[in-house]
Amino acid sequence: MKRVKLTAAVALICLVAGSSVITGACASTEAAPTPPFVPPEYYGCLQVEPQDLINIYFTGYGDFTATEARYNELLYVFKDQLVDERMFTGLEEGFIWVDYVKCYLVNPDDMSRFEPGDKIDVVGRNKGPTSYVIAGLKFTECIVLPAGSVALPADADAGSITPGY
Amino acid sequence: MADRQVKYHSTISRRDFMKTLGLGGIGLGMAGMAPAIAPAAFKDLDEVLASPEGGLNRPSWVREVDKPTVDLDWNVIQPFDYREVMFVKGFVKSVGEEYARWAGQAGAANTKLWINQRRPGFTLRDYALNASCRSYAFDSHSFLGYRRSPTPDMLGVPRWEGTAEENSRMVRAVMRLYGADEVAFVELDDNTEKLIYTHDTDGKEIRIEHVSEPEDAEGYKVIPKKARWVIVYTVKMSYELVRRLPSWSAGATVYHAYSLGPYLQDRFQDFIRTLGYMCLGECSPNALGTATGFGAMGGLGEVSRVEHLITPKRGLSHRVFKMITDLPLVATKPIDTGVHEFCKTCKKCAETCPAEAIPSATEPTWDVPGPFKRPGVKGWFRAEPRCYSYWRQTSTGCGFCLAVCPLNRPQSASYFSTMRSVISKTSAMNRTFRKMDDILGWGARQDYESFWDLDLPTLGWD
Repeated sequence: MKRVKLTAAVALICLVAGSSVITGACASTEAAPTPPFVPPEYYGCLQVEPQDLINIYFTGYGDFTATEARYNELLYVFKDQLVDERMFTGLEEGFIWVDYVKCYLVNPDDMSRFEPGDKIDVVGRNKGPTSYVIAGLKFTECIVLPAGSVALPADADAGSITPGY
Repeated sequence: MADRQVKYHSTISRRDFMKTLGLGGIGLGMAGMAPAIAPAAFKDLDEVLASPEGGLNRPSWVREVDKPTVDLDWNVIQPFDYREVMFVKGFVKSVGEEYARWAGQAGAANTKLWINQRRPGFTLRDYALNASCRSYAFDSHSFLGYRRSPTPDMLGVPRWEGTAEENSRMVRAVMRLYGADEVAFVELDDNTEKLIYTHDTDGKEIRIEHVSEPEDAEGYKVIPKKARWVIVYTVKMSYELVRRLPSWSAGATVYHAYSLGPYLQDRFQDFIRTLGYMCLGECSPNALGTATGFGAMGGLGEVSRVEHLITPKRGLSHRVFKMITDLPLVATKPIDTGVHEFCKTCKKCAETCPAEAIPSATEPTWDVPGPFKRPGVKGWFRAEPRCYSYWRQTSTGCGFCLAVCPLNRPQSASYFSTMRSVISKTSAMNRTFRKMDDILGWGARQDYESFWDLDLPTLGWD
């Protein structure tokens, strides 16, 4: 008896669900993804062009120690970066190339949402030069975002909002 | 009393009630199309007592049980200080002032950016709708009530005397007339008293004392020990809006429900006052005690993976409120509708949470994630600092977990009521139902702009 009841229930579900496929399909809509999560401290990042940051370390006869002390470990955002094939070449090792900056991603799978021609913002922590032989920097804890999707860096004059339920 | 009930309408049926609403003959299947609030033509309180609105009105597959489906250890559960929750001190304590400051600034900066970008769901009109509801949602209300209606003493008549059963039906009927959806009752005892906060949302200490009258004083409020019954009730939110969370426009349904709860409370406190009893209310939404705890104990619903109550009729599309009275009531029992078992395997909320804040472990745990949570409950606990960070940087209350939940679907649709019925009897189909939900694309809608073209029923109560 129990088995009969269960079979009847399954049949009913299949029937109703089958008829609902049409409704479900009609209801499907163009997806606009939810706003991305960004660790709040990232909003305090500094906006910079990759080459400008590289130049700070590798041009002139600077004091490397002083430069590293001043610029390493800070959060920077590279805005409106054009996605190209080269960017993806290090993805298996967990990083993308942004100019000559190796950006190690928190979640490398995030890059699957983008393709060459798209524009992205990349925010992460500067770890300084990869070496002092070749001009290039290493970033860690990087997050890639659709260009302009969040207010990075946050405008300090924008105020503060505290929602609550 | 019995004579008068017979004389008037003691046998009013559902059909008769629908006729009263002007919907006779249309049938139950069309009940969802009824106006959300329609004036019921009750002639007197006896008629209210006899109406179907006085009953629990639950689907037949709801099983009453002796204890909630989440495990509770009453020896460990202790009264909790509301000031420790994430919205008050919990966030800063967990993440530090610097992080909290950036979270707030991020929200403000994103708000400005998205309005200027006209990001769907986050335009100026979305913001306006949200802000208009939010600005009234957390207004202060009275713990003691506004006392605008007369007492029996003022009228020179004895107070109302009814049996606990009569009172329960009366309270439920009146609350529904005011706009409540589900109404349950919890008797305060040594255990359930622990669900009342030590300090309320206004920071005042809550004392339970052997006194005759309640008190709302500077720094503290007193609940007389004789007030033994908690009325815990829900107010509906709109499914169509909930499935569009976390947009600003959709968030309006949450704030709107929060506005309506106190609206009911104000009126109900005066109703009870005129009957000659006390009714102590929330000074703001979420005050007095834990909504989920009282809701689970009273059988409004079951505690889910997202820590909210999933009710039989409204899933997650509701807000929970509570009041305390000395009017004798009949405690309602916890329920088992298979929600807890479903949550174990579904995990859709955990997989889709934009902040990755919902745990994906199959089994619940006794381990709470921080001092912002009360120990003694074996449940799933959100990483609230992360969840709340997301709220702040999006200037929303998020709620994407509500939108995607397969159990948060309208019961007016035969598929969903059948699904809930099956889930309540067996967990064998749980994985299948989850897959069906994915395949058929129910749930979250992110075409946020479509909201503005909806032909919503009154109050959005679809």
